[in-house]
Amino acid sequence: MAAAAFPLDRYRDAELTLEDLVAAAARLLRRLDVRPGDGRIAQAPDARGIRYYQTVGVLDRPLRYDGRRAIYGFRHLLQLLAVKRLQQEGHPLHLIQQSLAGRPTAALEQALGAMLAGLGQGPQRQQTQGHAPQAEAPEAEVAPAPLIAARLAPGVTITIDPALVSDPDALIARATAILTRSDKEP
Amino acid sequence: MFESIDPIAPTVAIDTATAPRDLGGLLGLVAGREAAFPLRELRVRADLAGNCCRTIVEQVFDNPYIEGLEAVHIFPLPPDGAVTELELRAGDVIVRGECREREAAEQAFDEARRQGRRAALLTAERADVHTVRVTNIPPGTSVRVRLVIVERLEEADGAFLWRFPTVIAPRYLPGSEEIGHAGAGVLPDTDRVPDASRLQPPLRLAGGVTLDLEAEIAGPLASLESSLHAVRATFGDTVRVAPSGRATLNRDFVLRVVPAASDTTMVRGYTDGAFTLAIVNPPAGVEAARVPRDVVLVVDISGSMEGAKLDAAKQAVRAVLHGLDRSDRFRLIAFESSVHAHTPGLVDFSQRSLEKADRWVAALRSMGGTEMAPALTEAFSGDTPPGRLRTVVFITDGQAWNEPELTALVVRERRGALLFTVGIDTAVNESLLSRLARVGGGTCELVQPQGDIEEAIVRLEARIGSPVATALQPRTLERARPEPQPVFSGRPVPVLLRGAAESIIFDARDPAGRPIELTMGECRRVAFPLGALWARERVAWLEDRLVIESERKSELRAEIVAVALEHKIASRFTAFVAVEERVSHTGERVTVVQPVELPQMWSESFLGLPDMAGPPMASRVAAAPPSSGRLGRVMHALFAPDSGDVRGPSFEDAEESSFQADSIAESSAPEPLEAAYEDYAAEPPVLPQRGSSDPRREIETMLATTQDANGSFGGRVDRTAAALVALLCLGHTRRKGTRRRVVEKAARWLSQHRTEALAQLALALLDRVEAGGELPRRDEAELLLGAGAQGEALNRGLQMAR
Repeated sequence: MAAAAFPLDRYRDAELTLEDLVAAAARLLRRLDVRPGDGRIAQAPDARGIRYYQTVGVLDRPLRYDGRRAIYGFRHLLQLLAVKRLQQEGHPLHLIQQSLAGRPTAALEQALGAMLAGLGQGPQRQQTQGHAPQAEAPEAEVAPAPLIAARLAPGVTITIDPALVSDPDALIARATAILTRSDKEP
Repeated sequence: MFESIDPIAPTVAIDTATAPRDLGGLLGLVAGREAAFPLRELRVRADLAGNCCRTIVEQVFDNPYIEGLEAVHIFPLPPDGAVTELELRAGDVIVRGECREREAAEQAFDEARRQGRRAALLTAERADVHTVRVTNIPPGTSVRVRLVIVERLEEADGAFLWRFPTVIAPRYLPGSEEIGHAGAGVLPDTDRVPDASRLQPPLRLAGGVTLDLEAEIAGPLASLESSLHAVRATFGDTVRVAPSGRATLNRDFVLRVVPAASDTTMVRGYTDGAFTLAIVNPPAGVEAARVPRDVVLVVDISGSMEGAKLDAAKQAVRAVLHGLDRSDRFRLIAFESSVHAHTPGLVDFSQRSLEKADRWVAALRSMGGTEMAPALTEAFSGDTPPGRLRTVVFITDGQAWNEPELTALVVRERRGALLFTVGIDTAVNESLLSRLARVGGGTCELVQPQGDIEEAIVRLEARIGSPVATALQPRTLERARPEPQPVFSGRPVPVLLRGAAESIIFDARDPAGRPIELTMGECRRVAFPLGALWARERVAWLEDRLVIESERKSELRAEIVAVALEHKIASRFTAFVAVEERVSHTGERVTVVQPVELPQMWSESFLGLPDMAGPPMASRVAAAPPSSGRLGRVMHALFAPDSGDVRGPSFEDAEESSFQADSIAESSAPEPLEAAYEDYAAEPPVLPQRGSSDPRREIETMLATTQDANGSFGGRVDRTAAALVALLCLGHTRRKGTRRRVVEKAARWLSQHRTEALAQLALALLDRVEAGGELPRRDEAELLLGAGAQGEALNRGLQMAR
């Protein structure tokens, strides 16, 4: 379970401004196979979309206000991901509204975690770790993209799963920088 | 400690090999299958007797979830109503609620929640907006929250109006800064509406909650009309009414009750021994002073007005305009997020200015937010010279949340002007519009978008302008609302007094400023909690003071608490709480705020993202064209300006739509019903619905809106004389009927053309009818009409009108 929920974990105690919430949702929606451009419905939510989701009650009121800024949290992120994913699956918003009413945070987390696993992230990660047998990999259409291997320094090579990392080059650059810096600090 | 329970859709233990790729499946969302929200049903039982009404409201909540439930329901109640009782009923357990100061009630509720006891809390957020919270509803069980509401009915033009709101419409939220989100609603608190987060329930995207409503009305009644298709059953003098089909919580339910015998006593009195309700009738035979008026029409063209409501608002504007007189000046202001004015200032009423205004109104389109404040400021701005009366007519659905701000604005800026409000909506903001009219010194008229706007404006017209009496004040006893009040024609003034007396004398001033005395002779004993009504009105007055004198906040608040606790009524600072003795649920608990329907005839598109909402729920209903009936077309052809050489349309089936002027009074009278109430479902007798089209009214409307500014019809004696005779046949004179003003203006114009025989004849007929003589006979009408250029067509039209 914990492994399946892995990408969500870091948001568990998050305090997000509206911009943070939208950005986090956009990142995670890609992993949930909801991509911008798949028709209007699948567009990443913007401030106006958030306001609308609040109007229909599929998104809770903010956790609190920091001065004049609304602060959102883990539950909001899960709600937003669930709405968008369900819309992508073709469910009309009025059924989503009914389905999400009274849904505890833990239930949302569990379902979304399972989704992330089901979409291949979990198994892929296990695969790279050598635990999941090849034969039991998920269906063909979610076959993982080839992993990227990058040699950062002599004797140090990392592999990057492009399905999980939006910008592999930037990650490689950052990792290289860390190595370089640690070289300079004895 | 509690065990963790699976959520509704038990999430499958995740096996990475078979992990689902469908979140809907994981959440148990099955395509096409509807799930339930907590509120299952609203039961309303109302008892109407004269000016008083007692209503029992029962909200039935289910817990369809597998966790314990805290249900939150934000809902409207009649703004004049006082909640006097709350009961929590679960199975055969009945817990009676206690009225306490709001903080104390909330604390008791929070404690019950922690302890796992079932509990209910009722708080009043505004005069109309209330919240019921029920906590610790165990899974798979139901509870009922039963409220008792007492209220005083509005009385206008001989009818009692009972309006029961069922839904809070999405209202506009003014403010530039969000400052928090303390309440359970969906809007943030803002700098201009600091309590906004408690007010707006979520919007429900499909389905609705059933309204099970029944009203019992003490008779005998002359007529009864309902805003919904309804059925009635009669038991002796008592009449019961219920909607005939399935109704949901998506519009106000309005009953218009006309008692059989109108009480023309100067002042009617009712007492329960400790409190008195006096109804002061407008003094008979007193005409309001004819002061030249500066009329400013303010019309709401915001997004929420889109569709039928805007059409109705335009109709209202035109109706008011055409009712103006030569000595009047006027100005039109339209508002949404910004203010639009048709002229920089007031203009004289003339044929030219009237036509220009008509064109300007026709071109208005709905858009933007509902920023009322700048529009009202603009309406009150500018000077009105002595000897003229500034009158502002505010036409809107009232759907904005800044009621306190607007109330303060009207008090501060009106400077002697009178503010009349006209509310147009299926779920109108009565709280705002009646309050603005109250502090604005005018009256409030509420109409359904497809109701008879014309008729409402005609009723209003008799009042736009001067009151028939001012400074009404009782000589003895403590009044709930201490300020002296104006009295308008057709609108009896209810006065709530602490104490009882054999006879009460009211002082007032007539239009000329002379003192008059109105005496309440007899006082009927009633078993109705008038004290609660007194307290409700006192609280409303104190709330007005709070807005106006914010520096006395704590003092006024303490006064509100004292009055509300003494009479055990809910207010903003007092609440009802009921807590069950035993513990009924420990364990996980979810909180669900009940989403509510979009009111009927609202267009969803203004909410911003229609494509995200699935298929539109509210079908937009266009207002019927004003002259849809055959007769309407005929009259239109006859009286429309520049109708040219209209040939009379064919009348083969004229008999079918014949109606008679002398049957007016009976046309809306109820049919006696023999069948027992229980049988009504078999063959329900349908009540007349407000606004159902009536060819007679169409003709009247046509005449009223085609009359020129000078009172003539196209400046022609023959047409004007024919119009006058048609109005006479329809029961209107200068003294009676709703079209008094049209008749008066036409007669005045004709009297300037007395040299023409047709004018003389028409005026002679008018004098005869006004003196109590017979209506124009067929030969007389023919004589009159036969002389005109379109004699034949007019004649036929008139025959039908008779």
